[in-house]
Amino acid sequence: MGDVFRTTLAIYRDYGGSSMMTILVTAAVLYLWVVEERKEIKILFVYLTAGLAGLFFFPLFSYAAIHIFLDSQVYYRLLWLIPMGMVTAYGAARAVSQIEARRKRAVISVLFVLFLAQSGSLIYCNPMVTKAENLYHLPGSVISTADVMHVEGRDVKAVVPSEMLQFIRQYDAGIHLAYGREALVDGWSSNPLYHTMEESPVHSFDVTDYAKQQGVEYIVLRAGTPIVGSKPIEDYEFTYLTTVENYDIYIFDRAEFAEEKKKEYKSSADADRDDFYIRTEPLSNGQIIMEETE
Amino acid sequence: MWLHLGLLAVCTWVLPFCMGLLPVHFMREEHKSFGMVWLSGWMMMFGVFQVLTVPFIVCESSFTRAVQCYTIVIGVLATVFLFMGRRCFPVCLRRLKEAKPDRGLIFLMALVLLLIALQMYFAFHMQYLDGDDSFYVAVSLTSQHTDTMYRFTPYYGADGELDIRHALSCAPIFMAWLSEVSGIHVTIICHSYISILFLLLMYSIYGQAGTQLFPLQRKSKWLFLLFLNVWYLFGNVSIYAAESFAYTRTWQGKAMFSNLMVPLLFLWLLFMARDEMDVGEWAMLFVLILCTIFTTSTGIFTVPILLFLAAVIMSVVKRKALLLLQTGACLVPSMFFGLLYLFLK
Repeated sequence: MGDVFRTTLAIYRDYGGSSMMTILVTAAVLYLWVVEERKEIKILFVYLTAGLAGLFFFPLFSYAAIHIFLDSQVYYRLLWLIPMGMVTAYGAARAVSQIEARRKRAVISVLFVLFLAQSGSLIYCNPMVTKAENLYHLPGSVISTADVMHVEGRDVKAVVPSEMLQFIRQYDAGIHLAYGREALVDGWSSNPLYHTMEESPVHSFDVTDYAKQQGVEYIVLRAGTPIVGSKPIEDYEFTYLTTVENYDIYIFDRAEFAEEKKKEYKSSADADRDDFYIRTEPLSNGQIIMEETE
Repeated sequence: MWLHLGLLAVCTWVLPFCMGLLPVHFMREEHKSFGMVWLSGWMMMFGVFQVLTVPFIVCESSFTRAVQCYTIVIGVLATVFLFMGRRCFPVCLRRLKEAKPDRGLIFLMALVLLLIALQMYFAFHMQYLDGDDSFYVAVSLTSQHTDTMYRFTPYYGADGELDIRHALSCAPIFMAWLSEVSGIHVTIICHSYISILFLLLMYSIYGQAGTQLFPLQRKSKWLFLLFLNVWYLFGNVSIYAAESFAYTRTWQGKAMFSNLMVPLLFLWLLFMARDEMDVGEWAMLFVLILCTIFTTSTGIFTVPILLFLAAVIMSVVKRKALLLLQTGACLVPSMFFGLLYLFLK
């Protein structure tokens, strides 16, 4: 039970982060408990809110909730049942409305707004919030890459760098992946192709061998990724197709649409692109020697 | 393009408005307003979608059939509701005229509306690359692409068994329906349209709540809305906070639950606490419970906790045990979908 209570406390602390959010809600509930005269408001914003918070912290309840119908990962959602903004804004608006002098009311309102702004964090300052590149709100490189791989009337299977995993199927569900977002989350799945793809340098034999085993028709690598092995990727039946927005796309030669795609992208393939292939020869003791290609 | 946008506008403005007229018609006079019609209409659309689509999902029927069925039913219902609830219109119009702002209120109102408009502008022009979209948005797109629902793994597209954990909450399928009817890519709908529209819906819910919380003090209502706006804008305090979800995942069921459903449930609990529940209000509470399940499967288990606790407190404070029974009746959808979940798991 002690562990459950500690978990609950940690979840509560994480919910509010380093802000004053949960303190403000508590202050609003206490204020309304003391001054609110309307029974219905007291029922909702004081008794019910306190009851929900009490339930959240009550070890027997949290133990049952975490083990039966929620898990510790989503237990924080119980806090969503408390409309924190509504309670705090109501408490503040009610308090300000009690002030009779107009100027004083305005000053207190401004001060409260400044306090909220100072104690919280502006959503648009989140480093993950960026200017939208397109109406899809997806990285442009993902859209360009998906457009190259798309085959009309048929699904294709691809393996893409980790930064594309979350987005490519939001644009084109006809592109199947050897592994998806679950590869990025520890413990969700373990696909050897993922580890091979994310290695630097990428081993030409390993990546193409795993790709063939998993029926992959396109390999997308970050342009400039060093590739090592006794042979380049092209010698393992994956031909370089084109480069879009810093991603090199290779196509499986035996894919039924391969010839058509190669024809389509023949003119746009970058003939002068830098090849980052480094020839390596395995030694009997398992080590490798690197040779610069000509 | 205009045809697609027009169809989207019909689905998200005209249909909810028509769907909301009948339930609001049966509500008390003081609850009637155009805002209430619109948001009740949205809830009706979600509720009907939940009831109609889940059988298709559970029976692993095709997405196309679900779309056809819902489109026909919602079209017929909207027409019938428009006709039956038409008398609600003059009442809402009168209330709109009564709500004409005083001169002293204009600055505060303008400030609140400007903040909301700015948030809508940013929702369109800024992006948040959220990992969970690789599930939710991809589920919508995969449904359209494969003509199945919750069968293919959205992360990488492999065929699998029915994903029962998510299948009972069909918000992503609703987005796919919007895309199917309007002909606009579902990712654009979610990221560039719903992200704006649901912010507006959220503030219209808070607007209704403000009207009910401060029935005689209009200035306090707008102050309440101002503080709420700032609270939300600066609410990015952690990745768990409902306020963060409101901006970064507006179109996901989880965000809809925490920022649309919970405030709405509290508004309805306020009606309950004030004994202002007529047929329309009780019916809408039933629909709201359905909508919480529509948004997230977590709602199946958490909403009964909220409602039960509220009903217990109210019945004790107000000495009215009947409330427990009435609330229990409204929780039938939670019980049904909870049992269905346990049965199919």
